[in-house]
Amino acid sequence: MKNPWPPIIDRRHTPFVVRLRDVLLSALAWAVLIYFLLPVVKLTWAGALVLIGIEERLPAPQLRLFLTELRPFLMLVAVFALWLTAFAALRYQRLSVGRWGQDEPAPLSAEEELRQWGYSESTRLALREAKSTVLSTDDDGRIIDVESRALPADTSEALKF
Amino acid sequence: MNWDLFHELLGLFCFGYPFAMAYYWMIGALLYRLVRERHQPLPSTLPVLDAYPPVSVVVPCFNEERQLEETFAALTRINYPDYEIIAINDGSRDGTQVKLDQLATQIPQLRVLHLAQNRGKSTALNCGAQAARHELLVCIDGDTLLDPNAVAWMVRRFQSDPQIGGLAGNPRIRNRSSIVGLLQVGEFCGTVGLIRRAQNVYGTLFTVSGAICAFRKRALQEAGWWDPAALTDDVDVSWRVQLAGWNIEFVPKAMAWILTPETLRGLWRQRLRWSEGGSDVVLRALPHLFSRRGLRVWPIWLNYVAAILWSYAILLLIAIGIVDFVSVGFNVELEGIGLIPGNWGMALATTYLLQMLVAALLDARLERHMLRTQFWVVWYPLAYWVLQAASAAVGIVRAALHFNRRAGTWVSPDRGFQ
Repeated sequence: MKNPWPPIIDRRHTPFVVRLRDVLLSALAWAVLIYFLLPVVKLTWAGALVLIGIEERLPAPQLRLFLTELRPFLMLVAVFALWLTAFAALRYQRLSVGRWGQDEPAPLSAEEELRQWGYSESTRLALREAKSTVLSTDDDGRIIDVESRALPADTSEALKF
Repeated sequence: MNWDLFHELLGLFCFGYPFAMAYYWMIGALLYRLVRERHQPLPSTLPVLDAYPPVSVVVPCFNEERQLEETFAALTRINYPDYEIIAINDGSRDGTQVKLDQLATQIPQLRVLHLAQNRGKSTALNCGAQAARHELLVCIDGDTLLDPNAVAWMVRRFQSDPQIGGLAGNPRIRNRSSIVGLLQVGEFCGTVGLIRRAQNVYGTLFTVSGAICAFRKRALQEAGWWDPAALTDDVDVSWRVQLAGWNIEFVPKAMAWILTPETLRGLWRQRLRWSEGGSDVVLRALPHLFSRRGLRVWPIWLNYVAAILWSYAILLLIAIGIVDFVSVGFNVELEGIGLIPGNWGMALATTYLLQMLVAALLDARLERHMLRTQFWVVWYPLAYWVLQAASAAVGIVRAALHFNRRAGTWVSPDRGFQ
């Protein structure tokens, strides 16, 4: 059996009418968004005219928004940028010196696990060895009983891998 | 209160929060790319590791009969030399039990635990962790298809830093047959991906994704394992692992393919649960904020609180805008209050488009045609913000009301149109 990867379920099986509706609605939504963006489009256009030398400078009203009204927010963004850059620089430095001179943490020992979960070594082994197990737990989710279970000897059909 | 001042403050906050945070996320994500991703191999490449420690893949399942073959077929194709798979059937009522036993006869690495009673995902994960023979646990959902190279990418990150106690993988949306599914592709790329990268730069993640994450057992032991009372196990365990002094990092190349709701009802229920679970964790974290280890969660705690306040503010703004709009003839006039402040709407829209562009370019290495999918994300600011805001506003109330909840429960999700 083929295994297409990545396993994306696309719109191939979606009815044409639904696909058409989605495209039209989304195009309409884009139109609304672009409506909000008209001043930016105008500013970009004016900037292009300045760049190619047709106009001498940008019109003042569009620039005012960015230079005056947005100033407090842009300053906040600048503070954020400084904060993140400091963290990134610190991180880069720590990464560049390798593993920070520390050893891998020790794996959790059997004693620690038994102490944590409060059952016997035989229960722990049963949990880890059986191919199929039935567990009973109390209301707090603690395992109170472990019962190994036989797997079906014969599976009716091979799974489609 | 003076209406003009109220209007001004409301408008400033409704505009300022998403505007400033969008640039924060973009800058953080770009810095992450510069510091962490620039010299790394391509995602399709299998990374070469110093050593290959054995790994346990833990898969809690509840009523997953239809998904299991696909999930476990993907797990047999993992490109990693030494791993075991532990499936936990949490008292399913469909044919999950039979199917898992059948799979266990065919997959040598698979062992199956059947819980006699349904106990919730956290208990299932705790049981899986106890049955796991190895120190490193990779946890996925029963309907998640793990990328063949994901385990190697996660082990690589564990090896880079012994202080890492947990890893957040990168869930990718599989079902893209409707607008709701398609716009989540943009959301996971443009919002979730950016936020995780930015949070990784300053070193504290709000949450791993339960669909694909990894932990050291030692970190879980020190954090107190998964809490059966948690509504969102992933958010809860992420905070406790970090409050225990461990780091959690994001691994964009550790990908897993997930199914998401494709109906508005399913999406609402999912977001409400996430919101309630997140709010619950944020409320429970309150006493820990002033401890030495609690200092590190302040940025994500404040951001979450600001997001909740923003949700109420934007809903209020919309409500006032509607009253203003329909009040003609009813002698109710709220002078100067509108749905979106004129020029600021433009600034937000520009910022949003820039954010999506940055995210798509960053994710283009992970998945082809990311720019093409951006056509659908136009819905995100127009409609999705309202849904998110509403679920956040309701979620905090539900979290406060259910604060003494006894146990978390499974919610069988809407898995879209397949």
